Amino acid sequence: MELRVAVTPSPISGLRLALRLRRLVGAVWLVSMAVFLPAHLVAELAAGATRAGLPDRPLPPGDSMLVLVELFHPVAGPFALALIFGGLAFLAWSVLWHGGVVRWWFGTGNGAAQVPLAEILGHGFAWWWRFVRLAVVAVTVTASMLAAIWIPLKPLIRSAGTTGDGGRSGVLLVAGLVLTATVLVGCWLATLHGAWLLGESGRRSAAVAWLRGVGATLRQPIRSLWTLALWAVPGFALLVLPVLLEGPAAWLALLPAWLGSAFCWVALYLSFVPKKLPRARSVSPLEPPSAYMTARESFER
Amino acid sequence: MTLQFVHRPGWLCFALVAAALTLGPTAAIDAGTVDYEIEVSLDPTAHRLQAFERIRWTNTTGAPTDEIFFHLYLNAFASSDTTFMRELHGSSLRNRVALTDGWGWVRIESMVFDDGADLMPGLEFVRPDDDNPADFSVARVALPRVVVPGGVVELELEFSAQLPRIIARTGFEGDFHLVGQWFPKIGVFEGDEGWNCHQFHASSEFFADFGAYRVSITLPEDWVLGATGIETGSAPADGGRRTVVYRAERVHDFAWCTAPPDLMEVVETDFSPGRDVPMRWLERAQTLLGLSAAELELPPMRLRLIVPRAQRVLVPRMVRAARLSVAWFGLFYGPYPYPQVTIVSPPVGAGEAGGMEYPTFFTTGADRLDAYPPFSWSSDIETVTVHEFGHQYFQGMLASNEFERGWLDEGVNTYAELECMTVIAADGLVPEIRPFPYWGAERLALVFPRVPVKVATRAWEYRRRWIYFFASYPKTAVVLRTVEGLIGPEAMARGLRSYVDRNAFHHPSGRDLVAALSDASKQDLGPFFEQAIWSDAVPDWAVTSVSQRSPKAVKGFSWDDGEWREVEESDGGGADDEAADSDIWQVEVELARLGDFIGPVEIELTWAGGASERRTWGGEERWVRWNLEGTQRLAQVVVDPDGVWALETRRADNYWRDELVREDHPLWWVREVLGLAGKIFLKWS
Repeated sequence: MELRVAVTPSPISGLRLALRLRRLVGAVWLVSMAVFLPAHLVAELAAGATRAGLPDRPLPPGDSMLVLVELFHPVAGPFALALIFGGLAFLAWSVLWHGGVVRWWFGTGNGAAQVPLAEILGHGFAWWWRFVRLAVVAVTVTASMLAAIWIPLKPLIRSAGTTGDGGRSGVLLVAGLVLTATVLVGCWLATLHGAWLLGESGRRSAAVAWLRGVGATLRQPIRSLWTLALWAVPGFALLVLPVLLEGPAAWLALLPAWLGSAFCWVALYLSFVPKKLPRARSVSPLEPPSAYMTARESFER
Repeated sequence: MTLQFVHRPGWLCFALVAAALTLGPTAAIDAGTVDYEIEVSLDPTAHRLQAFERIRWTNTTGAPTDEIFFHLYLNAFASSDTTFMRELHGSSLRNRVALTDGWGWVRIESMVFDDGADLMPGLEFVRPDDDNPADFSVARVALPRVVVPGGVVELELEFSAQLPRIIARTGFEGDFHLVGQWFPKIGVFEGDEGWNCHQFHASSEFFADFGAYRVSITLPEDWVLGATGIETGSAPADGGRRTVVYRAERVHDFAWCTAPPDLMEVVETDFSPGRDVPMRWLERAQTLLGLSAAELELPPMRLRLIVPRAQRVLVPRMVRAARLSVAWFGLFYGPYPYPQVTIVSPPVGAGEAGGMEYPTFFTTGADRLDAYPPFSWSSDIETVTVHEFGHQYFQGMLASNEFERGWLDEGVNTYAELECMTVIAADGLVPEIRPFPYWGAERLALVFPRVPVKVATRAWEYRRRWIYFFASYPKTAVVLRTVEGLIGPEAMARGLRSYVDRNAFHHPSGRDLVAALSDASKQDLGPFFEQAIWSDAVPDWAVTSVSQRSPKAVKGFSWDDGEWREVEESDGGGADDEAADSDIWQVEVELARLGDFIGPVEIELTWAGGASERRTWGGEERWVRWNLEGTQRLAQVVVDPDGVWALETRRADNYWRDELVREDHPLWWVREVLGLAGKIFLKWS
């Protein structure tokens, strides 16, 4: 009998599990910040002292940008490298904890009150490559679909504009934008579903898991979208909040807001845990042992 | 097609009638140096022109000549080996790839002198700039008689022209035709210096004499048409076509645009000073120029927009931008002297035609996306409209030589545009646009060249094409911004107004600009401009060191009344740079001139208690040390505290502070990077 995982997004489950995995939330919070620390240090070393020496009066128009460019110009290379490597490290870390959570869930994710972070990270290392493949599939499919939308649409919009058919041009443009948003959100949801489906016993193909994620999204589009919006909107808002705040409030809000943001991202991911888990046989030394019960099942009991 | 020759009295009548029809209420009738009468027919399928041209040229100089030089600009697009194409290096002017097909050319088929002599045997191509044998953009014709000073000659030409796929402001894209630089046009005779008639270069625009134009254009009957001047007549022609007559007086070029009605539409509107001049602007102009409201009164005029139907939603914004442009330039640089201006927004795919000025006619650039956020937040529509309308003054009325002094129209006009845009944004006159540091962005552009740039360079002789743009637009504008800082906004406004008044309908030089600004400011600005425009000098000052000490108590022996006496220990002494309990602080401030630009710069010294003083350093020396004494420590030193020297781009070392204050935002660099990215988006979206 083929075994399948049924995924029903549940923000409440995500909230509960995220609270339980608070050490993971803390790790996501700290590591996600730490990977950009080199870029921050380069910026501070390059410009911090000079900026601290600027007068306590408004600078003449344009001086602020000029000083910034002047100070950053000599360190442009290191700064760009620090940003790029920070970004790559962030991606690697994201893949790590996403994979780790899935493998933990299917393995020892039982009702234990304490969840060892090391265990999750260990699982993450074991399944890292599997989830990298999933990320590559997701990015490739998203980029291909966007290209498939805009490559034919652009000349159509252009020709509609050239021949004076402004109405048609506008309709095509709006259609393109709506399709773009649909593809982005749809691919995101498919990846969230697919990540959990990739944890199915015996499943190795990231592409198949992602495709099944598409199916899961299509089966429950509203619930999936609602769950995504519920966590992603506050996640983004908390991420940018410290950037928007001024003065001491920015300092005060920085760490709590980003902690809250990390919580949202972890909770979003955990909202997509499988509702029911099949009993499966191990097919690989990397697979979790067979015959187990998920943490959510134990929760619900 | 051949026209009957029009005799001189007819020409005079034509000139008078045209002047009466086309001149604004404040303009006086002025006989042109060169007058054109052209009949042209467009084949919209082959994109080909067939034309007859009559030229009447007056030698207004004190030297005789027996030759005439012509621009044949369309030949710049004849092959990949022309001077224009060679200099383009496969790039483009307006984000369009260089021509690979759809070449353009113009061919003179006959040329007859006013005595009936055939001039074709004496017609030859010349290459005054680079001897490129593949370039055919300038021709010379030998005349059968010498044209003495004050003498007049008349020529009749027949020519045909193939429009290129749109490139460098001219050509066709689909059914859209922007016809510029299309007819054989006489160069400028400069007396003993001969003919000024340069080849068409990739990095230059144009130079021609003022005159009257009467142009009859035959085109498909229902196509929309816009052109230099005003329409004075329209009549049906053979084959479902019509002939439209345009007249323009005191202009130095003629361009036109046509397209089918399902692609473009005409919007007729007007500028009404009572409605369209912001009261704040009028008050500002009164203050700065010292003129009364009556003296600043502007005439009404017609605005004619030719826009793609796809951009209809943007028409209100385009009209508003045009009205604000007319108001700003009218108030500060004098009333627009023509009764109409025609504005063309090219359709999708014809962007290469955008952002170009011709007398009483200019092209802008827009996209229907500009109607929606975040693209609507950008001030592109206003900026381009203000800039191109500004060219009606700086190049249209003040016809400087764009080949040799591109900075004089582009730079002065960019200065005027930035002043206008800054005020438009500050006054909230275009609610859609988001705040943008117009001058800050312009100054930022000055950071990029690694090798100092001399502005006063002929357009095609800059080291790189982008340096031509850098020197002609932002650098010159920032030079003028610096002048404004040095002489004050009133003197600047009066100087530029005077520059326009003195040089309208002439060919001003850079020296004319310097003279007008010097007179208005009652300062000799020659040395400044010599460095800023005619040299590559770069201003750069720095606070190199500041040391502070309380007076040391004397230790050891002192010479007292003819003998050494040991000094007793005192508690009042202190070491260098220590905050001892002294009432006196001795401060040494060392400033250096790191750049080679010499000029006066103001220094602001702020003491710990908050009191501040300003001193001016002439800057002739390489460095200077000031010894100061005060009751408190010096807290801050700022070189050029008001940002007068906008030209100075290395500003980090202009500031010194006794106690460093850490940045008050933990993510300052993220904010700065995001802010810069946002500004780049607003600028280039």
